[in-house]
Amino acid sequence: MAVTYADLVAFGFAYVEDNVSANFKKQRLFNKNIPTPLLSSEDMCLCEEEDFIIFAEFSEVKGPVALFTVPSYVQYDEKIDVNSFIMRIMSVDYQANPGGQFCICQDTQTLQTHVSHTRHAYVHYFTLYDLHARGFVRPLCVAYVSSNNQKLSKIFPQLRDQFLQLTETIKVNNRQHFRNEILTVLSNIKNMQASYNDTTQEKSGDNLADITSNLSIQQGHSTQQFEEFSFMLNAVEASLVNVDYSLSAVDHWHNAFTFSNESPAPKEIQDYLTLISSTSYRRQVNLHDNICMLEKQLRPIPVLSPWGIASALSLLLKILHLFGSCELSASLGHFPSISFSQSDPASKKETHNSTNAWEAIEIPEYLQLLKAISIGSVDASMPSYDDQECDQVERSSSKEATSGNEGSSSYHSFSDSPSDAVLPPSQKNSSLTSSIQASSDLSSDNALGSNQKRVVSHESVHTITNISVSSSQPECREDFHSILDSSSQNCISADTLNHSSENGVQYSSSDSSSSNGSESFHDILEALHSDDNWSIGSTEETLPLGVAWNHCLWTRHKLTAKSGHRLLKFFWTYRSAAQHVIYSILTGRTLVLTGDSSSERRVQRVMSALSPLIPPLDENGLRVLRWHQGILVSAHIASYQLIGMCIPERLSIHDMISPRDKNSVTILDVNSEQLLGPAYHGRLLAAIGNNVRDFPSDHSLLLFMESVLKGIGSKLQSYKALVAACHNELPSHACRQLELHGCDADIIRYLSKLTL
Amino acid sequence: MVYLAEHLMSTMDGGKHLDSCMEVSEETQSQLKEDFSPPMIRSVAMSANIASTVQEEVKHLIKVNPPPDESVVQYKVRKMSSEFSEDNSDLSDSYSDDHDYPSIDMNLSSICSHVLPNDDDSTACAMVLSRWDDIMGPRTIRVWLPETVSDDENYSENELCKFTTPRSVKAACQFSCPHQMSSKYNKVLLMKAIKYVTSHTVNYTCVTGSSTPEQNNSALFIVPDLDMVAQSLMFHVPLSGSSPYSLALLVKYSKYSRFLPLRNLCQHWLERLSTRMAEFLLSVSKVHGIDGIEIPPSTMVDTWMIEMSHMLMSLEVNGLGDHRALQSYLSPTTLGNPLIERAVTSHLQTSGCTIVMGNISSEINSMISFLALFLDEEAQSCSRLVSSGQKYTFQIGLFLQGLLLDEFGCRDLSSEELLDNPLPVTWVDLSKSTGVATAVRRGLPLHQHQRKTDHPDSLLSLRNVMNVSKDESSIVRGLIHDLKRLPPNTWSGVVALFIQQLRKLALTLLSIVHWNGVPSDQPKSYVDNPTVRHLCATLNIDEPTFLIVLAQAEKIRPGAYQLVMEGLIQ
Repeated sequence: MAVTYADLVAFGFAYVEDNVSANFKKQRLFNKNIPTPLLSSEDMCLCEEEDFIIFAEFSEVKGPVALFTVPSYVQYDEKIDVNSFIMRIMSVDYQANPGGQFCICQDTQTLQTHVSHTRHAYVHYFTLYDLHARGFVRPLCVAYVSSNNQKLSKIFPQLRDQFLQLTETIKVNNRQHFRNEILTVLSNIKNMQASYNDTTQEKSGDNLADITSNLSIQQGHSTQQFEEFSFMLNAVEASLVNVDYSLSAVDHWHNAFTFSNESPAPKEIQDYLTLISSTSYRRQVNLHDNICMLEKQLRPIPVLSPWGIASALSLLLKILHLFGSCELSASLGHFPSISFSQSDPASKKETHNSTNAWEAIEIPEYLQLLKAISIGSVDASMPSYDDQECDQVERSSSKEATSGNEGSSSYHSFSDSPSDAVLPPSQKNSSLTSSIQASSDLSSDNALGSNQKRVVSHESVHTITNISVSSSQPECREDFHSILDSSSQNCISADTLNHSSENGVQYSSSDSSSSNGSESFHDILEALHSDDNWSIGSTEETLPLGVAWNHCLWTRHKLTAKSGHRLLKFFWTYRSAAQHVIYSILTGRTLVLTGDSSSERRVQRVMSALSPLIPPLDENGLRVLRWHQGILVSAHIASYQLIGMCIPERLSIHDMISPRDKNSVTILDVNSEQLLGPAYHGRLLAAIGNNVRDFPSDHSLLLFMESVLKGIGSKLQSYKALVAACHNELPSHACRQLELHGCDADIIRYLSKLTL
Repeated sequence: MVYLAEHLMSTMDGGKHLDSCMEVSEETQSQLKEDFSPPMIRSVAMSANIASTVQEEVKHLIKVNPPPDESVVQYKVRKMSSEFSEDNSDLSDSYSDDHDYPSIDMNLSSICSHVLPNDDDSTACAMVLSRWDDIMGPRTIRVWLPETVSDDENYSENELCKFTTPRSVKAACQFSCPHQMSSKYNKVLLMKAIKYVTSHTVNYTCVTGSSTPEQNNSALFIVPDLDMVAQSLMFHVPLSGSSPYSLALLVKYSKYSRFLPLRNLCQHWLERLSTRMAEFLLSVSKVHGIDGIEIPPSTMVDTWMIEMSHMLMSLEVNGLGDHRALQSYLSPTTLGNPLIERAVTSHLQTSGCTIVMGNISSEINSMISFLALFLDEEAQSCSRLVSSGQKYTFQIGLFLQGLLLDEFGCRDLSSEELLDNPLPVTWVDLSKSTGVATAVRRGLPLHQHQRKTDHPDSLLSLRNVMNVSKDESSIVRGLIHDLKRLPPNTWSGVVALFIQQLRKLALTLLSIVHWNGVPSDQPKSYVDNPTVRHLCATLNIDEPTFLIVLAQAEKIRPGAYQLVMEGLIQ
C-alpha cells in the first residue's frame, strides 16, 4: 500500500502549494460545512410541516399583505406567521423595474433558503397594471413555501415552469383589462379636448382672457396625458401578441363563471362575480382626475384580472397537489411499472396542462379559496387607518357567505373531507361554526397527537406481551398458527385492543433497547397484533385491489383499507406457501382462494394483501372475482386472475372444479393453508425467503417487494433487448444466455408478453 | 437619521465648495462622523430605505470615492458629476425607484478585476463580492469580470459610468430583447445586474433576519429583464461585529438551462470560496482596519475565481453532453476489463463520484460514459470527459471526471483535495503500469469522510484516505453479466431499471430503520456492525450491495448513512 501512495504524496503536494498559499491550505480543508442531517429515526419527517403557497401583494397603502394562501387555513395559523414571512420576501423590490417611463417588465424568480427559521421559499414576482395605482403598477408575488430545502431545490425547474404559466394567464387578462381602461381614458380626453374646442369657439366673445388662461394649461396638460397614455397603450398591445393559449384560458374561465344554467351558481362564485363587477367600484373610479386620487381605496386584485385569478386559483391547487407530497413517499399498492420507456422526456414535456374550469368550480377547496380571495383582497386594498370600515366589510362579506345555505354547507363538506385531517388546532377562521371547530379538533388530535399515541401503544404492547409471551417464544412457527387460528382468547384481546385505541395499535420500538434487530421478538408481536386478525373485524367494506396510494414512509401510519395492507401478515400466515403463490401470480396462473362460507372476509383480505403483486393484463386493472359460490368452470379461469371461492360444508375443492381445470390454476385454502400448484425453485424470487419475517411493517415489505419486482424488470429488459438484438435465436436461447432457468424463465416469458 | 444628514450637510456648508467635497473619501467621512457624534452612528443598523434616503440627500458627497492618488480619475469624476447635475433637473420622483440600488463607486476600475477567461463557452460572466455596510447599506466590494478583448478596452470607465446613471439605464431597459443589444448596452445591463445582486443578497433582511451566522443563506435569482441568473451565498467573517458578506456568481439568462443542473456544484464551490474569502478578509482587516470597504486586488483571490471559472468551462467544453453523444462512447471492450465489477460497485458506493485515469483518452472516455449510465441527469451534467489536447487537474465537486496521465504517470491528486470533496471518491486506474489488484480504490466511508474535521491529525497519514477496494456486489456482477451479452445501445434501459431497484431497496432500508430504530450506542468496529449484519440479512443482500443501497438512501435523505453506521445524529 505504501508503494502505491508514494507518488500521490509527491505530486499532490506540489500542486496544492502552487495554487494556494500555505496559510489557507489548512483552513480551507477543515472548514467545510457538514450538511445538516435531515434524519433521525425518532424525528418527524419534514413533510409534517406542510408545504403551502402564499399569494401576496405589496400594497401601496398597507405594505406587504397576503391576499390568500393555499391551503387557506395557513393564513390563520399562528405558528406560521404569514405576515412576517411576507415581510421577508416582499420588502425589497425584486423585479428589475427600471422606473421612469412605462414598460412591461418580465417576471423575476428567486429561490431563497432560510426565509424564516425552517422554511425555504420559491418566490415568483410579477406585476399587474392598474390605472389607479401609484406608477400604474401593483407588485405581487406568489411563493411556494416548503421546509424541505432539498426537495424545493429539486422541483425548482418544474415549479418555475408552472408558475410562469400561471402568471401568464393572470397578466394577459390584466392587460386586456388595462387596455380597455386606457382606451376609455383616451376617448375621454379626446372628448374633453373637443368640448373645450367647442366652448372656446362659442365663447370667443366673452371673458376671453379667463378662458385662454384656463385652456392653455388644460390643453397642454391633456395633450401630454394623451401621449403618455397612447404610449402605454402601444406597450400593452405589443405584449398581447402571441398569447393565444392564455387568451383561450381566459375565455374558458370567463364562460365557466358567467354561464347561467338552470341550477344557481354556488354562493362563492356569486360573491366573486359581485366582487369583480366593475359597478361596485365605480364610485372610486374617477376618470377625469386620476392623477390626484383623493380616495386611497385601491381596487382588489381580482378586479384587475378576474379570469386570470380564477384560473390561477385552480392551478395553484394543482401545483400544491403535484409537489406537496413528501419525497420519501412512493406510489405503492399497485403493480409497479417494470419496463423502461425511452420516451420519458417527451411525455414530460407537456405543452400546457390546461385546467378545466367546469370541474374546478365543483371542488370545495376551490370555492373555499375563492371565498378567501374575496375577503383577503378587499382587506388588502383598504387603508390601514380605516380599520373600522375594513372590519365592517369583512364582517358583511363573511355574513353574506354564511347566510346562504350553500356557502356554509360547502364549507362543511370541505371540513369533513378526509384531506382535512391535518387541520391544526390553532385554526381560527372567524366564520367557523363551533361544530366544525370541534370536528377539526378531533381530527387534529388524530393527526398530531402521536406522542400520546405512543404512550398508549406502549401500554398495549405490554398487555399483549403478557398474554402471548409464552406461546410465541421458542417455536414461534407452530404457536403462531395456533394463536391465529384457535386461540379465541387472543382474538378477543386483539379485538378489545382495537377498540381501546381508535387507530389500532401502533407498535413503537423507539424505547426498546433490543431494537438491534437480531432479536426480532418485537417484530413478531407487531406482525401478530398490529393488524387485525384475518377474519375478525368491523363491518367490511369492499377492500381496494391494486389501487395506488401514497404515504411518506417516515410516518407510522397503518395502511388500513389500502391495497397491500396485511401483506406482512400473509407472509407470516402462509410462510411456506408465499413464495410459490407469488410465483404463480407472476406466471399468470389464476389464483383461487378457497374457504368455507364463513371465511369470505378472510379471502377478501388476502386478496387485498396480494393485489399489489399481480401484474394487470391491461389498463382496466385487475380481473377479480371476489366471491364465487358454485362450480368453477374454465370460463371463469380464463377471464379472472384472482378468484375467491366458497367451498360448502362436507365438500372439498375437488368437487368444485374439474381435474383438467385444477391443473391450470393455483389453489390456496385460506383456512388450512394448503396450496395446490407448482412449486418455485429459482433465483429471481430467492430474496423473498425467511428474511421477510424481519420486516417491521407492510409498508417496508411492500417497498421491498417492489425492489424485487424492479430486479425482475431489469432482467426482463435484458431479455427483451437480447431477443430484439438476435432475431434468429429462440427465446430459450436468450434465457440461457441470461442464466434464466426453469421457473425464472417462466416468469420472464410471461411478463414479456404483457405490456407493462 | 435626519440628525446625521444634518451633520453631514453642515459639514458641507461649512465653507467647502463642490470640488473639495467630492474628494471626501470614505475614511474622511467616517472620521467626520465620529468627530461629531460617534455613539449615534456606530449603533445604527440601517434599513435599505433609510440608507438610500441619506444617499439621496447627500448624493454628490457619497457617490464620489476616488482613490487618493489618481488625479485622472478625479477629473473624470468631476466631469461626470457635472453631467449628473444637469440631469438633476429631470430627476423627478419617477426616478426614485432607483434608490433601491446601491451606488456602485464611480471609479469602477478600482473594484473590477478583468481576470476570468473570456470565451463564448464560459458559463460565468461575473463574480461579485458584496458587503452590508451599517451606514451605506449594500456595497459592491469587488467584481471579477472576463478579460476584456483589446478593442473593448477603449471603453473608458467614464463611458461605463455614464450608463449607470438612472436615465441611461432606463433607456437600456426599454429594449424588448436584451440579447440583441449592442455590447454597450450589455455592459450597462451587467452593471445593473451587479447592483441588483449586491442590493438583494446583502440587505437589511439578512441583517435583521432570523438566520444565524451558522446558517449561510443562499439564493438563486432569475431576472430576465437584466439578462441575468445569479446564485449567491451569504457568509460572515469570523470577526466580532462584522457585517454579512455575499459572494455571487452571475450567469447570462441565455445560459439558464445550462446552468440549472450545475446549481449544487456551484453552491459547493461558493461555499469553499466563501470560507477562503472569509479567511482572506480577516487577514486583510488586520492590516487595513476593521471596516475596510475596499480590499486590495490580490492575485491569490483572483486565482480562486479563475479556478472556478475554469471548472465551469471544462464542463462546457468536455461535458458529457446529451444522451446520444454519451452512447457513442460506449464500447463493449469496457465490460471486458477485469476491473469493471469492482469499479461499478465502488462507483455506486461513493454515490457516483469517480475519477477515471489512464493513458489513452478513448479508453477513459468509454469507461466514464459507461459509469455515467448509473448517474442521474444532474450528476451527468456535472461530469466531464478527457480530451487529449487539454490537461485537467482534479476538480472538486464533479461526479465523474477523467484524468489523462502524462508520460511520467503523474497524477495531479492530493489527498487533501480528495478529502475536501463533498463525497468520498472512487479512483479507477486504467493505466497498465498499475497492477489489477490495486487499480480500484475507494475513499473513506461517507460518515468518516464527513467527520474528518474531528480528527485532523489522524489524517496526516495520507495512506488512510484511499483504500483498495476488492468488493464486488453480487447484483452488480449479475448486471454486468447480462450487459455483456447485450449491444451497447440497449444498456441504458437495463441500467435504469437496475437503478430503480436500488432506489426501492434504499426506500425499504429507510423504512426499516424508521420502524425498528437503530441502537444508539456506537458500534465498536466498523467491520462487524450488528446493525449492518441485520439489515443485510433482512434485505437479503451482501455487504457491498448494502453499502450501495446505503449510499442511495443518503442521497434520498441526507444523514441516513451516519444514522445507520453510527446510530446517532450529531
